[in-house]
Amino acid sequence: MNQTLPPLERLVPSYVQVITPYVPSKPDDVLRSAYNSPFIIRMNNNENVLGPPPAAIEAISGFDPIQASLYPSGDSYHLRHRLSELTGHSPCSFIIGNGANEVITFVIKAFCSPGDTIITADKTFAVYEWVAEFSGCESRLIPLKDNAFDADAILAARTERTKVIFICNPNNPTGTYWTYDQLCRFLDKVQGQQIVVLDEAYAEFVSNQDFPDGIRLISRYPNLVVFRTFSKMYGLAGLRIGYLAADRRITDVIRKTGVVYSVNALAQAAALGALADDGAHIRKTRELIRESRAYLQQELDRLHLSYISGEGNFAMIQVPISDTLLYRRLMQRGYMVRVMTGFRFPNYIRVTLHPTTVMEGFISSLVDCI
Amino acid sequence: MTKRMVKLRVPLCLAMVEIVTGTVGQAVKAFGFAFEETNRAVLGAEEVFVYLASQAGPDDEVAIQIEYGGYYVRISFTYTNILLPVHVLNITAVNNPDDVSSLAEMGLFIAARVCDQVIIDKNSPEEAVVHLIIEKRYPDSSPHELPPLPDRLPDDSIISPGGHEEMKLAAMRVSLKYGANIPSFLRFPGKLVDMVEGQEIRILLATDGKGAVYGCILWKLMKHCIEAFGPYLFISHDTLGVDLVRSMLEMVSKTGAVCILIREPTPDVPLSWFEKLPPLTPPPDTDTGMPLQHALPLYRQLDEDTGSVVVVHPSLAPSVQRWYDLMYLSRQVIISIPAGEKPGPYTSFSVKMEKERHCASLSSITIGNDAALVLAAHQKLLWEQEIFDISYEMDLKDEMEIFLVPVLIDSGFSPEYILPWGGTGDLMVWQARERCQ
Repeated sequence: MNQTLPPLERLVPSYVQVITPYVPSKPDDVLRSAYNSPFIIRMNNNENVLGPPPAAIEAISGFDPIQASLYPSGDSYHLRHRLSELTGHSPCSFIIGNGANEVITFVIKAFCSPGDTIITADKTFAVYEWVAEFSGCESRLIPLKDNAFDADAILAARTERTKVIFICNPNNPTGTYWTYDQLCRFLDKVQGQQIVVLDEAYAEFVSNQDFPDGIRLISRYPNLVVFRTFSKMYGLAGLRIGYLAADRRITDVIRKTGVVYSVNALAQAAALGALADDGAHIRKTRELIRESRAYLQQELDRLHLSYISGEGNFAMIQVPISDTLLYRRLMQRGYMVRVMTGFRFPNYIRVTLHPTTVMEGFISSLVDCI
Repeated sequence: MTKRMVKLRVPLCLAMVEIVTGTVGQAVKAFGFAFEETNRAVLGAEEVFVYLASQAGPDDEVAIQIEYGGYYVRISFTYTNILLPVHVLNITAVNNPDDVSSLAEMGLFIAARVCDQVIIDKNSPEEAVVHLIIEKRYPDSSPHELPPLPDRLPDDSIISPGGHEEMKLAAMRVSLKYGANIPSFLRFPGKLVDMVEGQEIRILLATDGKGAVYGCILWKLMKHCIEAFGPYLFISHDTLGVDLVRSMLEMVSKTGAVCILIREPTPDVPLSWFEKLPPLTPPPDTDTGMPLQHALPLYRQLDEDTGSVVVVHPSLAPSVQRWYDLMYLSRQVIISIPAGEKPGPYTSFSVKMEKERHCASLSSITIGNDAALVLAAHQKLLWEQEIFDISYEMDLKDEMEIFLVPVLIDSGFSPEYILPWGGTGDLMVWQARERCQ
């Protein structure tokens, strides 16, 4: 049979042709074998080292396997209603997605046409920029100022074609955040002219009183869309579940581009379990992070290594060699870190905070490797 | 640069030749190329079209694309089910007009000589593309005396791609300060501007924003790898080299490129930002494994290395494994032992030459039984042009390259280093600096 290649140049939009696909990391067992690592400590993805809350574990272990043969709730009905009870917003104000990455796509598809622009920072979570590009949109990347989002520069960069502004709060990877006052000042100046997405993937790690709860601001700012995830604090990264919250007139629009049935039944059950936690899991996690961060900073100070360590369950370390070389050396010792050249922070690594016993081993290996 | 392209689809029959040559001539002229360059484009296109038409079936068509690339024009022929005799594209190929059997190939032989590059791509088992590339001719920069720069970098200096005049000034300052050891495109300021406009080369300049240029760094995106040139500094400064490298890395970090290479590092490269690519066979008079005679190429990866597979000749396996261990690179090394299988009849090499620097780099298009003869002919021809610095880039993902290992060794080449992700996979770079007797 003569299989002729289809005319890809004609079939594939020009803005897709120029994109380099994201290549995810290989599975741990493959990497461990490739690097002959004695073990693998995952310090690269900012997962919660304590795992999911007990109620979520119970939901997972109690999941009836026969449910796997049935379609899940197409719009995560019970989860949306539970979020409604917890926040006071209508269940229609929530859209659940297959991880926060999926809801980023929903928002850009809902508001942007090819040629429109989104605005975000140059050194932040890369998926906003990536989704915008494969949607034919331009990403205006505003340099961070003192490692934080620069509100004035973002406001000045807006044009008629700017549809969505993405603010990562706290920012991955710098851990900086806008306070309640800073956020409100910014939203006031936007005057509702653009959709402002507040990505709060790491919000549950922040205990400071001045940290804003975006979901509470939705009533005041109908152009505000808040992202939350169950992948970080709630330890459900493997199940891929996150959500967005917004004024229901906004979610009515976003729902038009949303994929239904993309969130599986087990993820929905586990997320409901996670929300049943009485706060103990969050307290325990925060305590672990506080101790781990204090230990790490003390050791980095001793080693005269610079670092950027804000909020979240991670810290960035500036290293005196290529970050990618350090990755390979650390992998051979069992520590998988995130290289930061791709985040436009060359010669930095980002590490997920672990219990101090693990961090001691990491520091010891780091010293050997640099 | 505005993308300018002309497309044509015609039946593959000789009656169409004037449509093809007429379109190519008009397009190349419209792209602003000179008479001589236009003539070369027309002649090359005519010869390729005539050859394809002579081999085509009655219903066959060819798609022709004429694309403006700034400093070059590319004419691409996409066709199906025709086997091109790639060996006649070798720079060393000879065509005997008295040999009737080779007359059909004469046209391709001519096309290969009037064009600056001929590239063949295979889209599918049936579909292939021949690209003819004709470059503009540029005046030499003839660097003259340039106004001296202040000793200090101004406080308000900026790093940016700059404007055309700043790029030309940078090229001239590089020529003046670094002399013979610069890439040839930097000798022609106009070509540099066209290459940057055509996105063939990227550049960052350190300027005062008022026309003075204090330094620059340039880079070129290849398949997986970026080759960088510089940083070139025109004043003495402690951190400008680092600033230029950091700015470049921030710009390339989202390109999808896997690694970055500086073949000939300048003294201002911040070494801690890179890895030295050590020699495959360390010289016996060093205990560090670093060769004494020349600077090692510098390398860094842009993302996490998740491993790869390489195929090596048994004689090289120990040094290759040692090299990967030294670099902390995870590679599955497959030792391929020839077991009597035969490659095809013909060998064809791609040659990149820098005549001004007396160096050339070869890589294979096809590897055949005549590899030793074809390689010897290439070396002879290059030596006659006073090119003695000859390298060969071996793709360690291509199992056929194994057949070339004994040929290269017998021809005076030795493996120098490996460039991880330099080709479809890792590249082993061989070098023959001395003329082989």
